[in-house]
Amino acid sequence: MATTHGSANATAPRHPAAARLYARSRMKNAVMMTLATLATVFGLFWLVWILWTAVSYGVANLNLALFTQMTPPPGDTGGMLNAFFGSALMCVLAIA
Amino acid sequence: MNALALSADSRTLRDARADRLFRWTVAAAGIFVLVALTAAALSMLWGGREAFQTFGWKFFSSTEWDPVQQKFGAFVPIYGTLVTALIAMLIAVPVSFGIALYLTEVAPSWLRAPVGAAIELLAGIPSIIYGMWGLFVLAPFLAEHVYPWVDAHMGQWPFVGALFAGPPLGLGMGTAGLVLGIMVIPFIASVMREVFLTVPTPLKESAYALGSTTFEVAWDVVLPYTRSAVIGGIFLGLGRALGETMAVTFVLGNAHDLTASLLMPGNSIAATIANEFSEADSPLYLSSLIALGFVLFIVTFIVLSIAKLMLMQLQKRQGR
Repeated sequence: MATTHGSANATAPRHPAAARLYARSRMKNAVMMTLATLATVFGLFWLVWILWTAVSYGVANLNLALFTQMTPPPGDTGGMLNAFFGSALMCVLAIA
Repeated sequence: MNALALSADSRTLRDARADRLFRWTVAAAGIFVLVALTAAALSMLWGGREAFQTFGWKFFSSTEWDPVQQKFGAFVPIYGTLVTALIAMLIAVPVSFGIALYLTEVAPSWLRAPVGAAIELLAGIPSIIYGMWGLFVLAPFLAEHVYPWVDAHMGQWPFVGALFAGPPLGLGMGTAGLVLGIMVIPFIASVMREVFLTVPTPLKESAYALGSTTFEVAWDVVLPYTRSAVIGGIFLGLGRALGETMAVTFVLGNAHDLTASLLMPGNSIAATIANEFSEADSPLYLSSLIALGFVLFIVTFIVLSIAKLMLMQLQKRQGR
């Protein structure tokens, strides 16, 4: 009979002071876990915002010419092949 | 038999020689870092000698930066560097702790890897992107929706009100600090997450068995256990915040004025150098900018030394 306590209340203290302490520490835990989740949402929020900005401005100018043509003089159309090549070359030089 | 002993002997000799060669190569690689560091510092000191000779110690304390009259003082950039880095750390440290806590304790296990990867993706965004996004997207948004409210409500607070009062320009110390904070978050968060995962499970389970909540385990067991690594991660972020150039240059406003308000434009050491190097039209101007680079070196060195000393003090108090 003594061993058949309800499992849901098995860990809850019986003494009123202990119960208050327990409730307070449960409450603090809930608040902190919510804050931790909010912190993650905060971090992801900026990532999504920046990515969205980059994609929404950039997607209109994404075409094959971007990767196959040189940077044009102002006012002309072209690509950024030389910039891609330069970035790749610098990376290879730095690592190898 | 004799031949066998001989060959073993020559092999030992060869091994010893290879070992020595390896040791020298590795030592050279290590020393190369120190030499490069010292050379960089000395060459900046040499390049800035004219500024140091002309202005003396006043170079550090003067707030004047007047290319027309050839008067240069580094106080405004030093102040801007420290204040923006401080704001960044005030934002990034608690948020990173929250993210690390979420990724190790709160999140369902199928969500941990993708969210962790997304947070680390923040570190992969180039600083120029942060700068352009800050200038074209974030600053107008803050100027229109956030800073007017900050000025109207927080500007009247006693003592600290002056920090938040000012015209809502969008560009300024507060914006720069926020952008820096976002940039630093992935560095601190991923270090914290990695070290939180190294805490032995029996240690945590013992605390749970005593009736601790998840937060109590994180705060009273995990954090003390990983303290030095966590502080190391914070230094890493601080070092990046102090030296960040491009993003800060875009959103700081580049005004050589000393103002208490975080809403007003300011300047940082790295931003000043980036902005004005191409316009330095006199030897003294150029020398002052190089001297500023030397000052950044010293400021970073001092800040990181203080942090290291604090860590040592902490460990001493623990009896280590």
